[in-house]
Amino acid sequence: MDTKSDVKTTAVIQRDWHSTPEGDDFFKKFSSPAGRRLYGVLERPVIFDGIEEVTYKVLFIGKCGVGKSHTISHLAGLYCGYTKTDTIGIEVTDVYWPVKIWDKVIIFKLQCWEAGESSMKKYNHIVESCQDKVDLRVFVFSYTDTSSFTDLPAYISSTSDKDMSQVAASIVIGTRNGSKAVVSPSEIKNFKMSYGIEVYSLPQAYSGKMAESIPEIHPLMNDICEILWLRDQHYIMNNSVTV
Amino acid sequence: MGANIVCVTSSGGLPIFSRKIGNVESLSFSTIGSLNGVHLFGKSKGLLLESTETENSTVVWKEYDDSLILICVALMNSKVIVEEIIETVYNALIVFVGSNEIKSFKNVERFKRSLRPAHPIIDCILECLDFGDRNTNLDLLKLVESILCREGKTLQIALDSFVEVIGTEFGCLTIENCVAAATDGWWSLAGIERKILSHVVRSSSHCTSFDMPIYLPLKSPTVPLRLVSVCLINPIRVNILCGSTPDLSVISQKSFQCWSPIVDTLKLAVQSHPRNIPSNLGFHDSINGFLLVNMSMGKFLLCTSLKSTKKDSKSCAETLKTFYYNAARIFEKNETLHQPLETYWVAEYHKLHAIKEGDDLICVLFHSGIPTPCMRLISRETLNIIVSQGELDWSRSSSK
Ligand SMILES: Nc1nc2c(ncn2[C@@H]2O[C@H](COP(=O)(O)OP(=O)(O)OP(=O)(O)O)[C@@H](O)[C@H]2O)c(=O)[nH]1
Ligand SMILES: [Mg+2]
Repeated sequence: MDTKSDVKTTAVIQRDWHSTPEGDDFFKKFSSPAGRRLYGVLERPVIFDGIEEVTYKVLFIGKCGVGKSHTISHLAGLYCGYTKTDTIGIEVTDVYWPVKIWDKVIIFKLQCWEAGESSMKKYNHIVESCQDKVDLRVFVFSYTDTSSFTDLPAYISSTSDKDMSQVAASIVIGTRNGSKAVVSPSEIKNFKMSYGIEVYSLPQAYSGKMAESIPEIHPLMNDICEILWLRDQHYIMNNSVTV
Repeated sequence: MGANIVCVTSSGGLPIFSRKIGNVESLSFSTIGSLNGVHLFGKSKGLLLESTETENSTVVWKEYDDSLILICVALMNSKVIVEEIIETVYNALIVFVGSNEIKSFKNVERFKRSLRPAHPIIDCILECLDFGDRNTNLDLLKLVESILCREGKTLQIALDSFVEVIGTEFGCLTIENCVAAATDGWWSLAGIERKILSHVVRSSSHCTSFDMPIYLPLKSPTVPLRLVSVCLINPIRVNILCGSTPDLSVISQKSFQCWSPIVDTLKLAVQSHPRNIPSNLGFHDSINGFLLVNMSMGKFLLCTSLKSTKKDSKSCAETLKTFYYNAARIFEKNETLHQPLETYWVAEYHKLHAIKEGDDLICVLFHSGIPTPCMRLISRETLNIIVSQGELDWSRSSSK
């Protein structure tokens, strides 16, 4: 049952693959300094033709305005030249990420879901479609807003999985980590200890604009992919044992 | 050049929002107070203050539902246009919060917050103003932009069967936010509803799919519907209106199933952009671009990259926009006893001509070498080239 420690120590994704000639080539082809582009449901980056793809549903949760939309755009490598307002209803952004697992390249397609808090309160169908079959929950807080951090336990306990054999994985992302941070490292440490959930930090982005910085999000994206991959492995193992 | 629009509460004049476009100062708190004050003063004396004009700007006041007052101050634009801006903005507010909320909101702060998602849409609406200074977007008030492609018929058939699978009547397919196909149900919406929905889709096109609760100002002002949009291949999106089912994941799946068999057709259709008409349609050499409007369907087609570079194409579109607002829009009014049918401008570098035939109005930008009497013939011929192509189906629903 206690497989959590295994999850942390087993590294299956080649961490420095992106700096090998093969990985570098991949990233150069699907991303430019100007950013990546959005792909529709009927297409994907051409360079991924013939490569195995795995799809996951990732749900972003957190207080209004903490930077969920911003974080998703960042992971997707999309520019938002204009200032975005509150999300209403549901927004889904597909993020493609190639990784090397053992000796095989695999494309992760992360369907990143986000719903505005006011719409969640008002519309049941929005809550239901968001919570349905989630693979990973990303709880988001802002380092510059204490209450967004202290609210995390409430968010965590309010999300539950109906199907106990398919419990979603969880991580926490803190945005705007910079000189104005009011959430302290010791608070983060305590949180990690008591909830056993990993906390990642994204730096303060400047003037609302973001440059495509693959190196910056590499560790985070690789970790997300690995968590999802290992969760699948455990699921397969557990099920084959019980069969 | 620019404009400001502010919204205050009828009782007490508390500011709800303030948006602006162009390089003008935002209205100061005291200016807003004074503008509201004169309106209020008139009201207390039984007078309705509608508008006023200064040397270069127009101010229009409009109160809605005894609840909100919208005030717009715009440079270089006529009263009629400013009134239409205000009307569109008011309808956009309904789209986001519904008409009941506007009539009877309790908490001002919460109401302000619930209108925040409307801000980008209000900005889009302001972009429809024309300042003649070549900096605005090329969007037109109340009309949705459309695109014609050879694949139109195939797209229409696919769309009709897609909405049936989803269980709705309302669907439209857009390429770079220009309508390429739409169902009869979609065309049956009021023009202003279709226009606002197109602003909403445009300002949310950064995501693969979205599912947004919205109200329709005329068709459903108190019961929210869902506007669901799925990107098929960037920049083609399929957009539908539906009730609480089916769920977003199901709609995405169905989009995949319904549209993947014709993905090659979609890829071909994308190539019609930015020309917006099929590449094999040829026009008279003297034409730099044209704007075609179907008044009964409330749609327009802008074709400005016939031969020019990107920069020329932009200035061509801007010139057509100015001409349309300042000269050609008189055709849309039905109140005059004598209906004008044609109008033209002669400028240093180009000439413009507009002609109305039935529901269609075409504005053509010529290079200045064209003899003025020839414009009528060529405008007519241009209109004919498009309307006569049954395959392109320009006047689709208006003929039904
Ligand atoms: N400067 C800076 N601004 C940020 C950062 N992250 C988010 N923002 C801004 O904060 C505002 C809110 O961010 P969003 O990403 O829209 O927040 P959200 O969590 O999606 O908000 P809701 O959808 O309303 O729940 C936006 O104007 C962002 O541009 C950041 O790291 N730095
Ligand atoms: Mg958001």
